[in-house]
Amino acid sequence: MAPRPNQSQQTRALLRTLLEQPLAWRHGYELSKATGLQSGTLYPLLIRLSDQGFLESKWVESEQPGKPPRHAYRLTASGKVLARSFDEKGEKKAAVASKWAGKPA
Amino acid sequence: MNLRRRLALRLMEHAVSVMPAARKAWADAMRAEFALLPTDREALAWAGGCLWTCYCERISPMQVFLKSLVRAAAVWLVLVAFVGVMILDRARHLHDPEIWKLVRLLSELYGGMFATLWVCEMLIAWRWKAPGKIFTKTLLRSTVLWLWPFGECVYRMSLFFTDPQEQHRIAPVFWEWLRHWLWNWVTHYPLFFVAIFVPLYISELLIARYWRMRPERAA
Repeated sequence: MAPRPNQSQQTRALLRTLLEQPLAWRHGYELSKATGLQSGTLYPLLIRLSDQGFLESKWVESEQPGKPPRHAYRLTASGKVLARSFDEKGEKKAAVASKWAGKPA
Repeated sequence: MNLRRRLALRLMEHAVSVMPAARKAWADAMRAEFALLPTDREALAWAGGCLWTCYCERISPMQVFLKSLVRAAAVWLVLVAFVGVMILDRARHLHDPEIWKLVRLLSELYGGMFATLWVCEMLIAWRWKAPGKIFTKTLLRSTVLWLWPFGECVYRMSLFFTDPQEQHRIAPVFWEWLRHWLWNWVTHYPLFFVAIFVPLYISELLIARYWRMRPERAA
């Protein structure tokens, strides 16, 4: 069966990280560190989520002098809804898994 | 600057040059982060990942072109099978001249259907990025196929209006044809729409269920 879009673990990890600070603008490197995703995985996800309207971006001046401006990202309203829906599904699955794990064999 | 950092820099510059113009902001974003990476090892890994991303973006339009072709072919086959089944019973009673006429008509119909479907698929793949909405997309495809007769109508009207010499001869034939066409449009054409929509919708549901057309790149 074909997987549905935005359902991969990497996408969920990224959305979860962005949802931790929904109002903050986060940089690519910071997101890479927080999610453990390499740039080759992170940027395609950022591009796709941005294309789909789940992510907004802006340029901000770098804190280090002489360095180019940085691209910063945060979730849009629809992005937050999507991220929260994954969180709820994850919690339900975890609850079911712990229930089964707690049962005697 | 040591060898590793120099190599990373070269890779990063190459990645930026490979990125399509429409995505240049993303390449600049990657390069800005690259400039802030503390270690050479991280810089090299980062540049390698960015190069991969930029090449993926570069070949993406070609993928759209090929995937839309394959998708149009798949949907077209379902439609051809459906049309074939519908005319099979009637075609059984035809004789040689009529059969050849039917074959010619069908080849024109199938050729036009394929071209139209491919154009539809390419436009949807390029411009309609939101996932899902199978019903709406099928409605669009069906409507485009269904509206074909308009093309013929416009063509005949252009002949009529661009050649005044021919107007006397063409006018009665044209208006008679237009009257028939409008009558058919009101009475039979809604059925044609259903006949187009049903196989297209079935094939779309099958594709959505079993065929991964928009992969999550590198995810």
